[in-house]
Amino acid sequence: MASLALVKEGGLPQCKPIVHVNIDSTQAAVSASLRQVCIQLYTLGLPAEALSSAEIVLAEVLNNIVEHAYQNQAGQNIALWIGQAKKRLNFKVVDQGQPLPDLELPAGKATDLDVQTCDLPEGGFGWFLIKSLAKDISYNRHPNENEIQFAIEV
Amino acid sequence: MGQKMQLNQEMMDGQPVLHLKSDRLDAAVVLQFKDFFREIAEKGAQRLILDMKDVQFMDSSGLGAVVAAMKSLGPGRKLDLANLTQTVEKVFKLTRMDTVFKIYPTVDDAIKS
Repeated sequence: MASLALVKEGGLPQCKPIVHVNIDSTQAAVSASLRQVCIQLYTLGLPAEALSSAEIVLAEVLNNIVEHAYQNQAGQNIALWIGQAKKRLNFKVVDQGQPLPDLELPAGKATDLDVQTCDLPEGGFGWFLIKSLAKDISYNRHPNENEIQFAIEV
Repeated sequence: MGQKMQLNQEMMDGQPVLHLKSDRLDAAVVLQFKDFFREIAEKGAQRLILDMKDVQFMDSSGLGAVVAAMKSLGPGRKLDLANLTQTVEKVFKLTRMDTVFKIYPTVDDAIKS
């Protein structure tokens, strides 16, 4: 029941919480949890477009936490809540890892592809994908805790 | 957790096609993918076709691994893609990486071109 209360406190008003999971801070756990979460979201009968956006954004947010906030140290927790409102899915992700640099969301600029093949970027797409697909992205640093919220329009 | 992915090579009309056998190409399996790809690429084929039919989901590290695979072939050799599923295609399009690769609707189309 604590999780339901948290969803309300976290500023997701009038929104039915449908998912709450705790995920270990490894890429394998993120991958396995996403599989489960997406099956749950699938049963809501949402459009495929919204589901794929949700999965892409979630994967990027969660992997960033594993890699940067927790610096690939297993055994830490990532808490995920998903709530359903009328025309959107609301997401809240909380971890106890390192804060984001400068305590703000990365710019997430598009990568420059106008380069020689050997200079093509192999990373740096994550925040660009998040910002392209998610709405109302916010980041709050609490004492020893990161909280990211975003929404996917359905 | 034993992540399982495979990269199965098949000669089709004399061309090496790599079937990516995993429903996800994400951070959990990219190292495996890179290892498998390196092994196959060492055999020296001019052109490889990556069949992504089974890949229902790819994240940015998966995309990075495909880019790295293509770059590892060096000048004069090619990595073409076929059979992108909806979510995989979306990641290629959003990042505009669809302009960097030749992408075919099916393996057959890739072989015939």
